[in-house]
Amino acid sequence: MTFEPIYQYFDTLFDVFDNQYSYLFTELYEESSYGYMFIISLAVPLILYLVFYYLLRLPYLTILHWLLVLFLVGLLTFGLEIAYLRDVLSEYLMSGDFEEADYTSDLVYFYSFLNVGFSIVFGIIFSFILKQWSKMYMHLPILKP
Amino acid sequence: MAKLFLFGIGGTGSRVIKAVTMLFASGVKLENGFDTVVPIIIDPDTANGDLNRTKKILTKYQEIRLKTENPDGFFAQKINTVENLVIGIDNIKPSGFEFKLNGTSNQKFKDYIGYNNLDDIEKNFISSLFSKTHLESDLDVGFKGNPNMGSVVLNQFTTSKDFQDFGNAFARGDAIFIISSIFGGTGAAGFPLLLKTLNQGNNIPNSNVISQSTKGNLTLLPYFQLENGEIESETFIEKTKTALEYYNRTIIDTNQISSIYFLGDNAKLPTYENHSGKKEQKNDAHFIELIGALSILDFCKNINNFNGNTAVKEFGIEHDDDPINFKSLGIKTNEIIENPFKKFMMFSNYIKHPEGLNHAIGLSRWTLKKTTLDNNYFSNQSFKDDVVAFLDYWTEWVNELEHNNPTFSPFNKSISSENVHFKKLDIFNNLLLNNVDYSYEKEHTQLIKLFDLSIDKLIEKKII
Repeated sequence: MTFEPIYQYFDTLFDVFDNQYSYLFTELYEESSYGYMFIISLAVPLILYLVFYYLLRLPYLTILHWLLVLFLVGLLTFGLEIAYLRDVLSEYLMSGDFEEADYTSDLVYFYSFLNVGFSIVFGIIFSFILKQWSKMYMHLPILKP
Repeated sequence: MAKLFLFGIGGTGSRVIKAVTMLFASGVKLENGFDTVVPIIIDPDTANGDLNRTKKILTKYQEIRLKTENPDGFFAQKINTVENLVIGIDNIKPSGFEFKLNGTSNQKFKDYIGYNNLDDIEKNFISSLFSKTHLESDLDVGFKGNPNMGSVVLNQFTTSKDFQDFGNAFARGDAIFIISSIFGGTGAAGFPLLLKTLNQGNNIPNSNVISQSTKGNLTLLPYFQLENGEIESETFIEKTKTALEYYNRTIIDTNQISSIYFLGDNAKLPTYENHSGKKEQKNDAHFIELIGALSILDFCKNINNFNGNTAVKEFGIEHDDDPINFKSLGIKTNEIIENPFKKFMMFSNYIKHPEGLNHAIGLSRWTLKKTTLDNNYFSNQSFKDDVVAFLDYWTEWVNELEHNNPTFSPFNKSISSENVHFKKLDIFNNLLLNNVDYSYEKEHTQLIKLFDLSIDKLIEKKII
């Protein structure tokens, strides 16, 4: 399964794609980076909310604590995505061509923020799925359904 | 399944029944298939503070149990009344736990025996048995430590409707246990009379079955004294010796009963206010009454081991600590009461402590989702009138035990007053909520079963 079309859609939506630097997108495609980015934005909320719903043993948590976990999901996703993309595109980030380096840097931040958005959406979806079987927090983030 | 008919005679009988009710509430159960206990209090002093407090406690117990589906821990032992057994309906009526005595209300002893209608010779004879004070005594305050009066008035057991109902409710396999003190008036007179009636009375239904049934007795020897007043506690020892001699000759030597338990304590006697009866007679709970309640468990446990000769039993603690705690008791006693008491104390403390239930409602999952124990339940009058009211009585009872002499103070601070374990209890409440039954018709089911299970976990994990 390829995740490139999803990112392509947002590239177009936010007018990020630039023909001049199409080789950056090719590089990401050839390195399967779209897949890895997507997996990170999927895995981080899944892991954090698995821990929250099934391992945490604090009986008096509220929606504020749930939101704190969502914030951590975003923060961790952002950090991991930045680290990963900087690694994949390191050559271009350190390019002597400042315009290329700036564009690459902007692209790294764009994808990182985009993946933060994905991870937050996934965090919310996972919460509503995982809470069904949670004995401690089936009332979070909201009592219903 | 068998029933244990538990006769409590006089104020002491009421207080021991109160103690056994607390044991049952904490989850202690009778062995050998005794699934129902039928407390029957016999006391002419119907306004007696101890009697009425015990009746209220029994009523609250019944309320909670009737609103709990098949309890197997807290409140597991079924308590019922003779009247309910006869009509086959579980009514809740405090008076159902009491046998009425005819002709004792607003009547002097001399009127009860028809003294004024006697001729002079008969009056002289009666005067040799009863003093002027005896004759002028009001019967509705009891016999004020005078068994010679009690033995006359209580002789009318069998004529009452309550006693006829008792006969009708009695079935083969049921057993009888009688609780009485030997140093007062009502208990000392009532026990031999009641036993005689049960063994020989043939004008009550099922008299054959009743006479052949296994019977036990708890006789309480002096364990408190009274301030100077109408009842003279200096006579307690003398009365006890006389009565013991009588019991020995007429009951023990002739094997009239399967088992008789003697309990007393003359080392540390508390001194109570001297009230001849009515609501002022409300003595604090005493350690001896708790141990007396254990004799009922021992009786049921050994019901198949009695061999026709009267077994006479006593009780002693392992270490004479001050205050007495769980470790002071023998291993076997400890095994019976330590965990149930810890559990119920924890339950009580959690429900009543501001950092306990109040903190969890609306915050902890077990009060929010897939539960009947939500804010509505805890705001409901039924929760307050049944559970909270019973726990108030429990706390009062435990406090009285702690402040009496000898002092029984078995709970460490973390169970009795602090909140360090509430969080852990709430964790187990959340984790175990799905494992317990719930019922909308029997609204206390989930609460009683959940806390029984959760606090069990605290004990299993050695948290308390």
